[in-house]
Amino acid sequence: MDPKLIDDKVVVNAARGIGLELAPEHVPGVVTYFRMIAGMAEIVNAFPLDDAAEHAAVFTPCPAPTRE
Amino acid sequence: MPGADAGVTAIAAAVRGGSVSATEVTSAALARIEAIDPRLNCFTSVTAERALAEAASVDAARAAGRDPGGLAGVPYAVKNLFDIAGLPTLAGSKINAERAAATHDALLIQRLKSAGAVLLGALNMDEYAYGFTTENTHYGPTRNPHALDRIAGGSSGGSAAAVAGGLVPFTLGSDTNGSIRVPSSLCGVFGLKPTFGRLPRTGTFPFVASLDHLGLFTRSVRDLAAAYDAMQGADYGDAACASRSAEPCGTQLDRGSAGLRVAIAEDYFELRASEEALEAVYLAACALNATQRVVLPETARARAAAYIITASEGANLHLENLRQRAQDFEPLSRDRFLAGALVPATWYLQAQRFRYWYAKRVAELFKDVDAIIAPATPVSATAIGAETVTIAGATMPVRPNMGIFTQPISFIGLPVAAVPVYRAGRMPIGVQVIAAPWREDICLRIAAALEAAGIAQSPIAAS
Repeated sequence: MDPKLIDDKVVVNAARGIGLELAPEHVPGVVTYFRMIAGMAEIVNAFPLDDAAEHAAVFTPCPAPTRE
Repeated sequence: MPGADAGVTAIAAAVRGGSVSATEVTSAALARIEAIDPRLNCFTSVTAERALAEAASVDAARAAGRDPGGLAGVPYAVKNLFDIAGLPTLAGSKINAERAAATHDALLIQRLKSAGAVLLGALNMDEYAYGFTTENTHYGPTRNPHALDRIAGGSSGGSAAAVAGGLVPFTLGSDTNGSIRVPSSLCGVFGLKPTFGRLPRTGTFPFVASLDHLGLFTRSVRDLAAAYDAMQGADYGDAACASRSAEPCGTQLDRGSAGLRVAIAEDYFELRASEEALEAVYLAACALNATQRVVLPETARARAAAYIITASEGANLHLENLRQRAQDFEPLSRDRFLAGALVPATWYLQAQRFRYWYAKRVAELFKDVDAIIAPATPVSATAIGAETVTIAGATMPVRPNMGIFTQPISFIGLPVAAVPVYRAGRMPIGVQVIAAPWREDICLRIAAALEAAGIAQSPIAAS
């Protein structure tokens, strides 16, 4: 997402989509920080990763409780 | 009677040897907190009654001929995201103050109690650990003991300042993106952020589960090793904790740095550092005869990925409170939390995939070097309330940028010793000594070598 496309309307609607009603006084700050995150995402998403590049978080199955 | 400058090992030796009681040491530390803390604002709770009871228990053990523990009678305190039985776990927030009191101590507190250490209280921090300055609107800013108008760094600012001010000889903190290393640098104390998964986080309030580490602060490397060794060991209560046995470091310190290949991090780290940060790295490198230089690949991208993961996981954890009561969050970080809730899953997942790629590439560097030195912060402590800082001609916001050198390292969980480089009459600033995963021993051996050379020192601030 191009950070320049992010404005009050975009963040208010995106927030509403996850059940988050932004107070009017919070909107300018949220726009600023969401633009900042979007800029970071542009940097990360521009990097080519091959199909074998796995997610860093590894799930560990939980062992069944032992019988006393 | 050990004075305010007595460290962990000196106090433990004195108490174990019977030249002073744990009760005397504890009473002296409580008196220092009462006298000095109103100026620094490190403590959010002082657990005096509990501390005196723990000290009495240590004294009783010794009187009965039982081993009082390796840290007998050593006072300490913890960042207020650690559970302390009987207190709500604030994590720097107003919201958590409404929660029920913790019913158990965090696991690391339990381990320290078993070793004979005495808990004196809980310490100030940025709300929910989202910050690098400890300018906490709810509980007030923690002040830097070396200059009361400056920040202590964060988010473990109370922990670093309490050690720098001589209130206690060691403290515990947490580090997600730099929250031990930044305040270590700005307050001029030693810090250790172990490998991700080394110290169990059981009984602590999370910030970003993928990135959260626990660690500690002291004023000497020997003290750092002694307290760290007492806390090691796996625990199934923390899903990220590695199933590794304790690997004590205290016995390794006398080996010095001979034979270790130390390199200086260039490129990203040099381009964004102030003159004083570069001077600190230069002084450390000279003392270690380090001339090799390395480039960590794609470091700016690593920092960006850490930023996305932090924003997304941090916001997810607090989403219900953000929906219901956003006005009760810290004004300095509330809008960042709200923005983090909007991060699309694909940005988050790409950042996690890049994390693994980056970890593998950086690991390759450790074929040719044993440790890497990098600045810990771009500048020394800025003024409380400052919004921006100018570095190398670029003006940038202080709060997100104090962690530009720490964030890419914790992103891949490498162990780091934060080492205060001594410059008489000037504000403290530190360097990071970074090693391969699980090689905290190397970080501490190099830190000890810098301390022995007089390059690294942590005198108590005259606050």
